[in-house]
Amino acid sequence: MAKASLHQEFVQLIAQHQKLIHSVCSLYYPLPEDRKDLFQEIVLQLWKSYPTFNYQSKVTTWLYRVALNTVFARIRKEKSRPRNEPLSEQIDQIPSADSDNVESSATQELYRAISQLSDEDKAIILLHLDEHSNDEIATMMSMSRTNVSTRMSRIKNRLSKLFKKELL
Amino acid sequence: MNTDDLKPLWEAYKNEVGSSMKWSEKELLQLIKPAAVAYPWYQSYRHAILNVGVSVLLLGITSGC
Repeated sequence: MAKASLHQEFVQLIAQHQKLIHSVCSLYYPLPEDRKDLFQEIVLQLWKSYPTFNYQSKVTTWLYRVALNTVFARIRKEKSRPRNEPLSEQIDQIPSADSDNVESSATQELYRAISQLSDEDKAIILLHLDEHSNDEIATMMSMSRTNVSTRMSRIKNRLSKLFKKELL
Repeated sequence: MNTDDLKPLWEAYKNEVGSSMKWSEKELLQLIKPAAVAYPWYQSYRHAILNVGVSVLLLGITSGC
């Protein structure tokens, strides 16, 4: 009975915040099937760590931490076992969130620009755009606050260049 | 670049992605609940059946049948 309610509680929490997980998946993987696989992997990791989550930190902080750890672990695994097709080709083929979904050009430009950043920089800008402070980002990414600030200014420069390029 | 200008865009992107890839609560529940595996009835008796089989075989060999 208690276990059933734990399942239900978890499912409701994930259903409420799933767009956050989907945004992480879509930023790192252009193909819908890869995104689906990653989403499942993240949800299962969240379910494993749910009993130890005590609501002392923000739900979104916990979700991001687990989601990004899962993404980085997966990327590390894939780097040791490279794919056949280069990732840049996949990004060109499927530029947006879903091939069936027509996105506004502005959000598509933002997606394209962020997609071109390195894996860690993507995570930093993602957390920054979701209103996390540099301290929170530093904790989540296991970096120093100074490192986060330095990288943030580099990311801003890079994004502004990429945006100009996209708009030309 | 002021990233505050990008925040509404990012929120819009999240909403677009979230609605196009949305999972229902039922699907999420199925994902975290391990599927019940149906075992055949003889699965739990397989050791006993094996023991009886080996005993009969040994009995047959030793008795010269």
